[in-house]
Amino acid sequence: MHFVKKVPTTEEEKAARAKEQLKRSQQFIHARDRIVAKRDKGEYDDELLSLTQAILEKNADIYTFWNIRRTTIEMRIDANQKLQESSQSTEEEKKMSTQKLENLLSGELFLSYECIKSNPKSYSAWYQRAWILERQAAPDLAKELVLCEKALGMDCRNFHCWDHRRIVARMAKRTEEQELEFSDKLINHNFSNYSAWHYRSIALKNIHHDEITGAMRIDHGLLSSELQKVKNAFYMDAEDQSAWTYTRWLLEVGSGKEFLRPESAAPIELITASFHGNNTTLVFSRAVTIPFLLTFVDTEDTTRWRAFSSTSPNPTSSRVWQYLSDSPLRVVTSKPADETTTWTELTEQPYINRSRLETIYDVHETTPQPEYIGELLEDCQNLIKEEPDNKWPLYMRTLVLLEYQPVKSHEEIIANLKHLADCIDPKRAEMYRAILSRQKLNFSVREQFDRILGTEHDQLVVRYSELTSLEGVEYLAGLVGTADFQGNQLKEIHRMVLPNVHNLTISENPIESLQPCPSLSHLKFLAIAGTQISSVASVMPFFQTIPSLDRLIFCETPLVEKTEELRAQLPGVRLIPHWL
Amino acid sequence: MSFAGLLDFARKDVELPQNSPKQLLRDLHSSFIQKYEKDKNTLHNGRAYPGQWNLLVCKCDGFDGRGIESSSKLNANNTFQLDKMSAEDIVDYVLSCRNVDGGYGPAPGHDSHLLHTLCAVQTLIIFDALQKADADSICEYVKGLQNKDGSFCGEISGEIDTRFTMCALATCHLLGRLSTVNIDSAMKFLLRCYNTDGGFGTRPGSESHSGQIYCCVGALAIVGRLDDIDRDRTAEWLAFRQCDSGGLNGRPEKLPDVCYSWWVLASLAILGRLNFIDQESMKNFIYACQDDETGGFADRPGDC
Repeated sequence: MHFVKKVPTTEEEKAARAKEQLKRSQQFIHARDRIVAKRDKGEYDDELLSLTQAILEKNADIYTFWNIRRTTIEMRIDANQKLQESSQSTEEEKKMSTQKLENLLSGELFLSYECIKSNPKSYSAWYQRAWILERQAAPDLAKELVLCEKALGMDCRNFHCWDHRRIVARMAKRTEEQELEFSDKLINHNFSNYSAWHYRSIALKNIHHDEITGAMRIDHGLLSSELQKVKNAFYMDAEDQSAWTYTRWLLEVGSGKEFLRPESAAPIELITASFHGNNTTLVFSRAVTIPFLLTFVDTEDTTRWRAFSSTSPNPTSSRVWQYLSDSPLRVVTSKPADETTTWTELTEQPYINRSRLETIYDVHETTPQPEYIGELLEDCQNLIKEEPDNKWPLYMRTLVLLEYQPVKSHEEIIANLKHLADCIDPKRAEMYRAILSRQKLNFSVREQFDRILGTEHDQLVVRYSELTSLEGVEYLAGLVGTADFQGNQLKEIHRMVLPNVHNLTISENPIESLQPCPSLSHLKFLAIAGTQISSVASVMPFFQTIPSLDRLIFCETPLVEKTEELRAQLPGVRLIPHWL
Repeated sequence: MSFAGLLDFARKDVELPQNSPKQLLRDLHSSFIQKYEKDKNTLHNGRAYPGQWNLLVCKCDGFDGRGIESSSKLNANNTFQLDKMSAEDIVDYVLSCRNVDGGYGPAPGHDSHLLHTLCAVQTLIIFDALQKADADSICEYVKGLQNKDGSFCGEISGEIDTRFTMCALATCHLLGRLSTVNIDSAMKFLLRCYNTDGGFGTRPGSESHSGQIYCCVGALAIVGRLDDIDRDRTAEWLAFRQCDSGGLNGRPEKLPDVCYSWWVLASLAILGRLNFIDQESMKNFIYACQDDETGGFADRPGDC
């Protein structure tokens, strides 16, 4: 049970409790049988209403009994409707009937109120309120809004109540501005109210979105004043997550990388399109499904597509797709704003959306930094000084730097993330290291940016860069054939999304086994030297999915001792257990 | 709720008592569950609680040795097994909850619900009795609850919740009939419930919640569309659910509760980011939630 303290009980007390439970259970069974029997006979009468009411008052979660009540109520609504339309009924009868129905509906609201009082988290009891309000001729929505406020006064985080509030506000035709004010009221009362900050962010999004594109348009003035508001909250309690989450949301409004985010209203763009002899590879700014990507290519064939994902072996939606065919596809490369469609042949040159790739890997820090960002950085710095053990100001400062100064502040970003992982918040060390890993990947990609985008080489080299994850390489899926990740902290490679890689070096990583990886099925060369791989069994499931492998370097691994065993399993592969 | 229970509202974390259990109390849990199993009153006549089957499913997973890997480890040191009779009883009971609409209720005589329909299918699969179910009518039932906007009602009343999307997709998936429902519109609705903090709520605009995230991430995984969300952002929100005590809470600034060890951890596992939290301190929190007198787990140490 939730929120119930365990107290020492004697055997006597236990026995008494068991007896009481048995009695309650028998009473319940008796009433339940009666209810079910009446329902099965179609006796939706007052007795059925009072039987179900008696049980729901004690246990509001039995939705079947609410269903029975709803059926009864609907029958009475129909009956009243017929009576109102009938020429044989008198005005008095009509009035009486309507009044009786109204009483029934308000009684139902009262029952739901009583149920919510004893169980404020009952889905069924809250649902019944909305259901009734929708059926009342003139629901008292003002009163209902007050009730929501009262309930939130008792538990400001009750999400059932917040959800109900959303329904009532819509019924009462409350404007988003009014709901924004409502969030103001609650936040001013209590800064530590994640639910109210969330409600606020939704209201702001609804107020400031472009009717046509759906994109959010919040200007600098508003952002600045919102930051001022939330600043009060994090200065009040810098440990409170509510304010920091809201700050992060503000920080990312208008971000240059917004087009990559799943909730973005920006059109999905092609990042690269390239032909690789046996497939055409398409990389998009966000995950797409087959029907969508068909609008970018000159084929209607849905059968030869293959998607790659770091979390699923058979994704149906992905940023990275291959069309398996010996002849290249033609792709649409015009911008959505263009009026005519531009088709591009991929025979010799790949299509590369250079400016988007530059944004993705922070090649330029072009975004002018608004004044409020400077202030936010300073506020974080002040709090870091005041509360050096608090993770939030340091983490927020780092997030701001990642967004606005990823190149200029690279060293500080790395130092902050290490400090968070090693000293301040070791519970989430791997999470910080994953962010660090991505920052280092971006750094490395920037250094070789022109070479990667050029047609001379297909190499990506990210050595000794503390990579713990390969998230982020997928944007280069159409450009990289040779990848070298030597000397990093990778424990696994099966999440790698580089489906055109034929030559892979993962030497000197703390890898103990190799799992099958759909994106490496064309591998010809693999170097796993200096890894911790020790048994043939721990790598065979992987090798069985790579029929094209012809060279394997595994020097300085425990696997060297198993060379003969490995040779028996991989007869066609040139095994290199020792440096020449 | 006691006064001490009320005080919990004001706190944001707990301390693990010195004398709390430090390891898994297998035998005690076994007898705790066995008590439910032996009590036919609970099974057949008791309070027809939604969730009773969940208990059954956990029981079967945990102790029959046919479930998940960790449960087989549990079983290794455990003599308790469901006997054949109990298995038949359970299958019969599940089948007795079937309604004419094709769905299953929580107990005989109760209306069908997607939650219980999924539970029925899961239970029948655990006991190799799926052939006793009518897959066609189950699928018809599920399909009938999908709305035009892609969302699902949990049952006839019309209540909509992303939990029900998960139940619908999981049910069809387990029956090998995923194409029964409109996956595209289901995903469209699901993504409308995705928040910028990385989480999911019950309906569009609703606040993120760990349990809801599990349902939505699970639903995305079933249809192979995890790339439709920012997995790192979601995993980060989930990682911040870990409190200093090692326990996980369901939403920011709430007390840890052992049930979220499941919702959060399962979500992180699906996202491939189990390492984003500290597993040792989480285990210690779970151990401390055990009742070392009767067996079973409380929401947090010291509760019952």
